[in-house]
Amino acid sequence: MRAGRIDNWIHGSFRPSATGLGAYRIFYAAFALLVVAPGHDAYASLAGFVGLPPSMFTPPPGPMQLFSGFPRRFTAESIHLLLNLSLAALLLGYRTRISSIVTGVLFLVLFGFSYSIGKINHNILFVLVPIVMSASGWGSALSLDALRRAVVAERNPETPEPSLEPGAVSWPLMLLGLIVGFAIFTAGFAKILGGWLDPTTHAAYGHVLKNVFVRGRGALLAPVIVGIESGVIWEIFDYLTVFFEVGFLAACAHRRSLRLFAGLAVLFHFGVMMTMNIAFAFNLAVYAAFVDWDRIAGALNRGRTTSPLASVQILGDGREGSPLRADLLGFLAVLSLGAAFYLVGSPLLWLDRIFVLDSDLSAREVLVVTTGAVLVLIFGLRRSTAAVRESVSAARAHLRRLIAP
Amino acid sequence: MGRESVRTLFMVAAGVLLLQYGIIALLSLGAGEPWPAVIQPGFKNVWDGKDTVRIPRADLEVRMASGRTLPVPLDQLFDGIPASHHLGLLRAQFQPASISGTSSTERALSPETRVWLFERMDRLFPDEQALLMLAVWREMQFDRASQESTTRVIDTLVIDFEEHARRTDR
Repeated sequence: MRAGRIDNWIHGSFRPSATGLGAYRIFYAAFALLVVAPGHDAYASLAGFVGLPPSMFTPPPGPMQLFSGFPRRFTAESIHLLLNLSLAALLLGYRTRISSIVTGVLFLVLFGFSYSIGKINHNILFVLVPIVMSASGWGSALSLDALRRAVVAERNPETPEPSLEPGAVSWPLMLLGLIVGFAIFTAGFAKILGGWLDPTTHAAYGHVLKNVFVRGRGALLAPVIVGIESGVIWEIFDYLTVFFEVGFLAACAHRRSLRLFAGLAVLFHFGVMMTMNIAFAFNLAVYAAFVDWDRIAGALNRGRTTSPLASVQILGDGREGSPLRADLLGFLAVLSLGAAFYLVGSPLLWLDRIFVLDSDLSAREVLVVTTGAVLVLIFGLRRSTAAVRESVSAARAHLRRLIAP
Repeated sequence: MGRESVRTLFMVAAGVLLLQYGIIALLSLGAGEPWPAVIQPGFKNVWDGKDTVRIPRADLEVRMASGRTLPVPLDQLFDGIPASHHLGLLRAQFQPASISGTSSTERALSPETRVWLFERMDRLFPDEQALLMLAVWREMQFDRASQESTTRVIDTLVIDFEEHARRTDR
């Protein structure tokens, strides 16, 4: 009985379609290429570390201790190139399972070197997404893998090729939810141990002051928030933060609560960005995993008149060698896209050059986090309005039944 | 993957998450936070609510042969390294043992790092010759009542370039 309930939770909480998973895969890869911009953005580049002497290499405990120093330029550029190629493969859904795992491993290595200077940025959840989701079949639709499978099927309808990807599998999404919930719980738990719930201390306010006066993060609402001196208000912030973070793990018990907490997390990060100029943009790509991508993919598909199989004609027309041609074209597409991003970088990087903020925030981060917050508010408002309308209709129907003769 | 295998995977994952959290807690006492680690930042520190907020900060300065002492812009010294890494870098490598409690945070005194720093100073200040680099650790005190801030120096890590300068016949 207990096993049955656990199985229901694992397999039944999320029931994504292959298309929904594919849509999220495309979103994640596009986010990584456009916002994270490996090899170009300072947070995802080893360029600044290449010339540092081995004496400055202070790897954190873990696999980075296997290395004796920062990578040389050739190694660093190879990592950047391979990462852009694997992300291009992920975006296009080419050999998706392998490209997912390679992406995650390369991010682990890149950030591992970057954090061997004395500071760790906590973007592990972003790094784990492709590794966990590689088992979800998120390459079985909206992908070159799916196109290639269709080509082979068209050619040999009696003997279908074994699928390169499984169909949609839901448990990886729940596993990701568990990992995210646990990770955020640790932040809340640390706060409890640190004394955030002590009414005689003001933790959030102390961090605001440190960020503004020591780290020079004085942009957006930071100067305004520093002026708020009410101990009650700051204590409310402290308590809300702790309960939200600790509650995230419990929220994993149900899809709806997990989605609610993911949405609240986006708003929380928006608030932190505005007041402390700390963006955590990476996490938005993680929370997006729990969005209803089936609905989004469906909305995007509405009004579509051509079948996706029409594009199969380009790749396969029943002649010999068509799957090979499909593979080759796919490989060339990945190579071209990956090389382009490696050489030129994200077009969004121009935003950082045009809008320079008075802190270490980038315009890209502000755009991403703000957009996320706006979308959450819009969808949240829609759902609330729909829920209120439903409740009102139900109440009216009930009332009519009561007063009917 | 069968349902039983997936259930086992989830239980193993939960166990691993808890175990690694325990290991992180132990390592954080001495060796530091590991990577990779499935945690999010705690921002544990709290302010005691008193009127004076005390915040440590560090700056790098360079003393030249001409007698001038100039500030070293961290974004130029550590060009390409994200700004959010600078304070962590200074804490891990430019912090006196009198503050951190361990000499492992004085890595900037190593010969290799000294050579690198000297060469960087040469590039940043081509018209001057650097003799010393000073990692000045201050405590900033912010008084909420008067909205004024004062700073006092706690300690300074001195990185001597003179030996290197003599060896390069400058």
